[in-house]
Amino acid sequence: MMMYIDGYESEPREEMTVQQMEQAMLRISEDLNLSSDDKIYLMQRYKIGRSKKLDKEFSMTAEHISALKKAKALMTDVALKLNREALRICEEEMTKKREGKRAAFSIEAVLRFKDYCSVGNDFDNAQNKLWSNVLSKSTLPSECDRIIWRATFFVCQTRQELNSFEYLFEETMEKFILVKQDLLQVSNYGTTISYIYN
Amino acid sequence: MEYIRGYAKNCRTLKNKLLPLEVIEDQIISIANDRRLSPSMQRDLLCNRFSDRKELLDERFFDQSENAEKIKVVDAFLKSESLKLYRLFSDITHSEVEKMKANPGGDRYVKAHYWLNTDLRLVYEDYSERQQEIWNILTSFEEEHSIEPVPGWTAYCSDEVDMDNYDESRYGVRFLHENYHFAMQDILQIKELNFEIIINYDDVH
Repeated sequence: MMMYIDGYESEPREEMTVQQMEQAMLRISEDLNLSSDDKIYLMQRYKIGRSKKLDKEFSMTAEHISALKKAKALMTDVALKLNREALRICEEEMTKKREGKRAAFSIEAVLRFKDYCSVGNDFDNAQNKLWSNVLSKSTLPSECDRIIWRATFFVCQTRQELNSFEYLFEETMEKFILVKQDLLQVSNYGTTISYIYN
Repeated sequence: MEYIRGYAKNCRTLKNKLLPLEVIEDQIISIANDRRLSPSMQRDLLCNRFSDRKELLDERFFDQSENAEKIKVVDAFLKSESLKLYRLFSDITHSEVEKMKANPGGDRYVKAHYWLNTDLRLVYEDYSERQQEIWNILTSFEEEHSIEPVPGWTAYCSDEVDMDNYDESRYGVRFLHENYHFAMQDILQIKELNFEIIINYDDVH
């Protein structure tokens, strides 16, 4: 028996198309009368339904394999550059500290999905709104929700906290309930380095 | 009277009088912890209550003459700390411009802001859990919903950086009081600030 939550089917039906699921996700995200808990629950169910459907449609053709390799290389490359830059800044701050100058307490490096209007080439408003929901871990798109990787480098230590980038691509898909097609759309990532002072 | 999920839209009596402070603060805690409310409902309900709380607290605050002296001390503290932050911000921004000149092709901006210390319990031993909770809700509300979350500066780096001039009047007690929901009494509690400078690298890859 189909269950309903505030007028929405609690799970997307098998026969729904990806487009119908995406339309439902947009309505859910914009529904001001839906509570946060219900929104999060419904969005998760529809994201899982959408990813299952898209995964079935995705075939590993030579073209797709090559595009996936490029997408994976892009993410890894950006993350490595960011990591290198954060380490360099950390060394600079350690030098400042040794010289008795005011230095940051820690450096934080963040890799995130960029604003959606710059994802893909010719996205319209509805597609951008959809991306902001698809790419977000929760249903409340904020800067925090788009974070793919974050690392803290403490200026007082010589050994920094480092993460492995080897599985970043797969981890990201799992964390955001994304499918391969989604990450093929991403042509750039946002990177931020923060100096934290105490 | 209009209601949103059981909460009156504002917290005034039928004769438009403000409810007691304790009642308003109880409602703030309930609303902030109510997961049934959507973020926009929470924002609307909290916004009204924070304004009323500020009005009530300020009425009492300005009646006491000794508060004027306390304001001066906190004002001087806020201004001197923000000036220190501005100097750091300025150094980092200029160093980013130099890096861009050496390795052109990117675009970046540097932002600086300070956080009002959110763990007041560490600063004030006598701060109750209730006061702490109200303070936490208030500061996170302001960070999420203000047009300008916390005072700071932004510099877009190009060949030559164009930085705003430091304007001391923007970073004192008056600025926080006029632009946010902080009552004077809240601002007087601030003894520590946390600084953050962010470099946003855009299209550099």
